[in-house]
Amino acid sequence: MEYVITFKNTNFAIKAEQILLADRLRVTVMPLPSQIKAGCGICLRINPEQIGSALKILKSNHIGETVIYLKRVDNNRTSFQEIVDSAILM
Amino acid sequence: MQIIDVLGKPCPIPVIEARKALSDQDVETVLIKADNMIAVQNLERMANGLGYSFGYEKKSESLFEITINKEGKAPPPSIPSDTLQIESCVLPTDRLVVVIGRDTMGAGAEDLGKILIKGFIYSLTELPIPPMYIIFLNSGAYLTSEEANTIDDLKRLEEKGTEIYTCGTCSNFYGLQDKLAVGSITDMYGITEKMASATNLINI
Repeated sequence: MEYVITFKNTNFAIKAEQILLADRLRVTVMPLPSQIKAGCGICLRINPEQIGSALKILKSNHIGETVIYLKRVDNNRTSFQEIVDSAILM
Repeated sequence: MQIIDVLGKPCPIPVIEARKALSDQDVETVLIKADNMIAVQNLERMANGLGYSFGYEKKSESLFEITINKEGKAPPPSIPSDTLQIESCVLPTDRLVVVIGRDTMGAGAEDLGKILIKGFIYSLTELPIPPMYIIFLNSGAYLTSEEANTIDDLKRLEEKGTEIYTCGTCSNFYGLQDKLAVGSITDMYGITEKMASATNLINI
């Protein structure tokens, strides 16, 4: 189980990865899954322990309009559930 | 002769395990114990594709012993045609080799290329049949070093049966020789041999 962060555009995705890595967060890259319609073509994955810190860092760096999904794999099926109020993760 | 037990293992694991064993130069014959006819059919196609001889024996309803030998050409199909039906998964008759010769993808903005290559590596984990080898060379060596955030995805590929190699000369050049975090080091002979063994080669 991990969280997926989608972005308004590719530039935000690139900037977000650089900022989060510089802050030593374990963030990894993934092309936008076809099940998700929002955001640009690149999204970031992060574990549940670090999603709160990541969102705070993105907010303070003015990277807005992110949409967060919970990624689960059950019986080899991957599902993405949108977190409507991402503030609860912070 | 090497014996592989894939009883209870779903497709495509029997084929991946057999292919892995056969890639060892010292192994001539592999005996695979499988529990279903689909695995037998898939292994026969793989053996035919590689030009190896194939035979199987039905020991019981849930035990098939398949023998694949590197000597000789494949005999006529030993499976009755009426059982050649359901295909539950794609077959790895192709040997896909991916060569990543830099730490970016495509030409243009470097920042974009650096994030694209990471997305590409993740996408490889989602292929129905993972690549046989992924070879990292030149600045691609950064992607297998401990500071890279591609390591988790590359480890997942290793679990799926992909072998990961990094060019030793390259990791030495970039001062990464003590930082390898996934797979092993190889030299140009190993790289060339693996590239030449490919039926499909993706060169980034």
